[in-house]
Amino acid sequence: MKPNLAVTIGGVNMKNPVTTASGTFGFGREYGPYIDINRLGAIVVKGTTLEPREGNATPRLVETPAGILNSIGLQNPGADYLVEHYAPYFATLQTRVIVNISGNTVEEYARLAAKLDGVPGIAGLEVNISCPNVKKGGMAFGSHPATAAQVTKAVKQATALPVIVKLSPNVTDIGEIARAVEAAGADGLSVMNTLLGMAIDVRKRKPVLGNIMGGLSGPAVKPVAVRAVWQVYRAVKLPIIGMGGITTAEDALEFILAGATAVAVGTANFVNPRATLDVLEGIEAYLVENSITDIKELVGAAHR
Amino acid sequence: MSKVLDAKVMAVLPVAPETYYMELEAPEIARLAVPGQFVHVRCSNSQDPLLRRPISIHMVSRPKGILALLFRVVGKGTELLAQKQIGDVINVMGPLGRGFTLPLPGSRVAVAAGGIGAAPLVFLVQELANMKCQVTVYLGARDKKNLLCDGQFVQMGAEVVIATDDGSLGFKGTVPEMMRRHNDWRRTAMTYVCGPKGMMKEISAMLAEADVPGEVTLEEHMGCGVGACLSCTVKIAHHGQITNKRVCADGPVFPSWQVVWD
Ligand SMILES: Cc1cc2nc3c(=O)[nH]c(=O)nc-3n(C[C@H](O)[C@H](O)[C@H](O)COP(=O)(O)OP(=O)(O)OC[C@H]3O[C@@H](n4cnc5c(N)ncnc54)[C@H](O)[C@@H]3O)c2cc1C
Ligand SMILES: Cc1cc2nc3c(=O)[nH]c(=O)nc-3n(C[C@H](O)[C@H](O)[C@H](O)COP(=O)(O)O)c2cc1C
Ligand code: FES
Repeated sequence: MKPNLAVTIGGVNMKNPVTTASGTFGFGREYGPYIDINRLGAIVVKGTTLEPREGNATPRLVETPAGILNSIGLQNPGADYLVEHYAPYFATLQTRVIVNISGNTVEEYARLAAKLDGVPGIAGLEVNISCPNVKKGGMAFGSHPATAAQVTKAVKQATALPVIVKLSPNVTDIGEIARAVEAAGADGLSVMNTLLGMAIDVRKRKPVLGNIMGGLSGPAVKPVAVRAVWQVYRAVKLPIIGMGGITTAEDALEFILAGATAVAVGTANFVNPRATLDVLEGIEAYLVENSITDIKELVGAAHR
Repeated sequence: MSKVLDAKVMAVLPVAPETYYMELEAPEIARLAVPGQFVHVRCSNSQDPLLRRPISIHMVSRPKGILALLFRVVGKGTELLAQKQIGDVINVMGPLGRGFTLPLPGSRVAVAAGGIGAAPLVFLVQELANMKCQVTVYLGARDKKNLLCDGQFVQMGAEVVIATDDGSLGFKGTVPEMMRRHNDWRRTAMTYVCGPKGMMKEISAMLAEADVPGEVTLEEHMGCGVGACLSCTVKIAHHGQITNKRVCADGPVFPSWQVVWD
């Protein structure tokens, strides 16, 4: 018998728990030649802001052991462009599209959420309060329970769409932030964004990245991300999208056992454009092998 | 349409100091590729090095289904690539990016290559030769030992003029310095350039001054290779507006007069 893979993240109904990490999958179309993206439970598209953004100076990406540091800096064409040029494409897909949003101020988050409300093709919002690569906003909001709650509340009030708040691991107590965001009305959580890091070129005696610091992702961060999901699962009742270094189904299952209802594949897409489908097929095979009829039975099972 | 496939190594050999020539069995990529495009290569199946490495398509043989690469060992990834043996399998993704704009058949064109920059230009010159173009190649290297592809260019019927930094072969100096003493390129339909950034910048300025259209091949650190991650951006000026373009998807070939050099 085929196991039931369907999950719901705060009102976003996904036919299976596999999605993409924002910023690693463009707007979906870029991966069209390699996989049928309609097979995914959802796709989370590139971070979008109210106004277009140019992003940071290059180099924006450098490889580190089993990981990468990136400092893209939220380059994106802006909300109006997204609504006009990408949303019609999203509406043709047989998968849910979640738009990742960022702002410099609480008000900007709210205006952006209002603008995307009711746009056909958009199934939910992922609120990025954890970007380490922008000077204003981003991680600054996600580092304090009060500001994290403020952003959440403002976005909730501005839209009827499901609101998933993306947390930063660059905090002392991620559980505390999760509780504040839950109390402010969030429908789900994404855990986690990148870890703040940097690399120095010893020949040039200069930081490698144009922006000096960047966010670490990829296999190197997986244990940190599994820990973060574990702690957030203990702290709140909200459904979690787990991510950070997932490259295989086994990695994804670790997140699910730690408490994630869904999983997102990020950096691994760069290495293996088929990574999302490999993860999906591997999860399904694991369920069949272990005679588990519903993926939801596994969510948080390591806590029990 | 780009593909991801496991390609068998059919040949790998050193051709100059730290420089290797490699043939891969990749018929689908060979069939689809155009000059100037690249492949994104997984140098190992481990997580370190993690990312693929972009390498230009040096040459293809469509009847044999062969994709040829020419690369310099500069770090971990290219070092692992150089250690591959005949029969090993390498995962490659491609062809990627936008290639060179080809001139009208029979045109007079120039090609300027510096160091490993010669790699993608061999495929280009082959295509130009098929189109009966008259090609002059301005070929530069550090020294005679590091000169690449001169024989291939001659065999394809191109006129080859050589510059070496130390004067061990041909003109003593850089490619742009050599080009200043020549006039052929000033009357071409197009000049194609690939080499170190400084050389491309200098030649782009010369082309602009002489009012000759040119194309350059840019490099940037890459993640996805397919236009999704925005790691590989360069500044391009178009109609007075400067925007970020992606080397992997909008390039790697760009009009020489549009590049904003830093
Ligand atoms: C479109 C394109 C085509 C290329 N074609 C060729 C070719 O035909 N032959 C050839 O020898 N080289 C080519 N290069 C350069 C080649 O990609 C780098 O030399 C290679 O990635 C270095 O990897 P490494 O692990 O050996 O070095 P490391 O220094 O260990 O690499 C570390 C990181 O830096 C990146 N990196 C290092 N140097 C460069 C560079 N110059 N450009 C982009 N990223 C870099 C690597 O991809 C990697 O992520 C090309 C680059 C681009 C962008
Ligand atoms: C190149 C790149 C760009 C990213 N852009 C965004 C973004 O725009 N918004 C966001 O919330 N997270 C962004 N992230 C973070 C990822 O969505 C994800 O949280 C993180 O990379 C961890 O997952 P991974 O290890 O599977 O990549 C980006 C990550 C990378 C590598
Ligand atoms: S490498 Fe990802 S956009 Fe070019």
